[in-house]
Amino acid sequence: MGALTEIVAPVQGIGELRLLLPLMQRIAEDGRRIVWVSPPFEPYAPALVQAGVEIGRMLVLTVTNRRQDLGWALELLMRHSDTGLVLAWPQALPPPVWRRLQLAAAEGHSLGVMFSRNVSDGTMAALRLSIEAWEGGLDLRILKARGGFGGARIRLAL
Amino acid sequence: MALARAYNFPSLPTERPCETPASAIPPLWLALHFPALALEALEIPPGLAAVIEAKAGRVRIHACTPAVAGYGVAAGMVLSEAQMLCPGLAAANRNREAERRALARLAERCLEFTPWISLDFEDALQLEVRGSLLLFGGPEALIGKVRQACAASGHSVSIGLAPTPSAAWLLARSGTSAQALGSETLQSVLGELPTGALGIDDKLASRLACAGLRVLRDLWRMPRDGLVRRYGRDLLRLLDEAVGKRRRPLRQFHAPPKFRAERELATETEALEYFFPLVEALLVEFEDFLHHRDAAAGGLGLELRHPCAAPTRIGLGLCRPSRDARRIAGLLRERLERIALPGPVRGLRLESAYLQPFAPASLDLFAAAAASGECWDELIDRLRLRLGPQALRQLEVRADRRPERAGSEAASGGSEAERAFRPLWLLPQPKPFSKLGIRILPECERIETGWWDGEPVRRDYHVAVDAAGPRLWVYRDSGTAGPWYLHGLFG
Repeated sequence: MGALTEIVAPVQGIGELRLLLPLMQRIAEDGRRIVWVSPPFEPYAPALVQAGVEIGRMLVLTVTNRRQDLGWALELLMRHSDTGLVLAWPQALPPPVWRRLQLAAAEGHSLGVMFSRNVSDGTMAALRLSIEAWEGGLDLRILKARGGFGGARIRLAL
Repeated sequence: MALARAYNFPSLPTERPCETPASAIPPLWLALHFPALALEALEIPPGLAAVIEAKAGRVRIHACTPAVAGYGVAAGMVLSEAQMLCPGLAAANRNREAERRALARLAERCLEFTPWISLDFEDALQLEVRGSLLLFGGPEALIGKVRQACAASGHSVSIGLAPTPSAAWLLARSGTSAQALGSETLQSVLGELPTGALGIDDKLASRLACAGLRVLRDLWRMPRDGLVRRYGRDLLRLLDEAVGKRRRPLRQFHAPPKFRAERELATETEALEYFFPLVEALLVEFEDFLHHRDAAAGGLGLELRHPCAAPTRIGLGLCRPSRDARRIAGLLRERLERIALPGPVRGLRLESAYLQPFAPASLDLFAAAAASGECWDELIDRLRLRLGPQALRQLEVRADRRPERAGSEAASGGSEAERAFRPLWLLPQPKPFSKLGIRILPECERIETGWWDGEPVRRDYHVAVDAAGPRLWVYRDSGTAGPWYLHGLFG
């Protein structure tokens, strides 16, 4: 806990949320908050309930002025001790903001998951994954990880 | 209920139940009766509308607009009967809390006429105005001003003036313009009022009418002990209260406490770091005010006055009432930093929006108290303040088969969640799409509902697989070969 994760997915809807469902379940059970920051679509509550995630502690935050407010809101959320997981879809964040968020996550013991579309170098995430779809599951590649798992490939059936 | 508690501060001096304006000169009461209060409190526009209330197991009309009364509908009528007379009748439930709030607002407004106001009579205000007559230039001028004030608040009013509150109330309700300034003329003014005006129930009123007792004068001619024997003690009490032989104790209305403080700046300045300490000082004063009354603020307003521009007003709402000056200062500072002032600031004014009794945060006995730092509510306040009140939403499940309604709106339930497999992402609006490169699986779920509220849905939902990877949730209208719509993604 207390770090940033970046998930690189070329398209939305291939299973990036199903990958996180067990994590969400655990965090919600711990009584910590899960915040969706400007999701690309509506997170659909009945499906989350089906998956066994407690939605009472979930919050959806809409940021209209992304350039001005996104970094501020993310930092505020991650620094808070009640927040367990922050999901965000930032299109581009400058490196200083990444660094600040990394610090905030470490301080608040919260997990930030950032979804991006393409593999761009220079992000400060502690863990970087890239996912691709295959028939019946996900093809997961670890781009970077603390502890030297970098480069591993895993096929997950979801 | 929340408002009812808001006025009841334990630190206020407890009032004696039998309080009456203490003076040697006899009091004079101005009763303001609001005949259409039930309609006005709900802000029902004029038209075919009525307020209903369940009485003795049947839904009856409590009040109706003049347009509805034109069809022959009257208060006390059963709703089905009224709907028969007036087919387009829109009925709304009576809201006593809203009526009470409207009455309290009117009372606050009327405090400019007299300090002694009572809300003890139904749908009416009692103003003790003996001392105000001279100031406002006589009863006629005073009544004119009161009428103006009520009309400005959007209420129609009928007014009665008499030496006892009950008599003033009777005159106000009767709608006649008769008034009694002294107790010697009181009986002759009241004498012609029908017995039903006393506010007795219909059964007793019809019994009195059968006995030939139509107006109050007839009742006064009857022997007192006989009246008690035949019609009960209450009737005599009402009669005695009207003429002042018996006193009815009234409770005085106290306006809810309000905080308002101003500061002038020594030099006009635009720089936040120069004028913000003054805001902080005002907030400390506000905190003391709240402490002394054991209250907390649900919100406040700050006004910055400029020498040659309209004042800047900042409203601050808190998601949990607070009296912590430092916390409020932090929120205000965040707001002030982000607005552009039209010019230098000359003065400040701080006003409380609404106060509530202070409720300290409850602590958990078993779990360790949360580590220091701001609590979740404060975080919500800060986010809301900067991103706007609509920026935050809670996910919720609603018992509706229509997918677009089952999620992210009000109310509990979980029935939708038990049904078939649902996608994690829902598109805010279903979107037409081309079938190119998409395989639609044959299994289908039919959703057919909503015929009762004008937005019927009759769709066949399928799961589809996109060649690029995502699994889609698509539908088309049942039984047609119409276009396909994309409604969700199985994220």
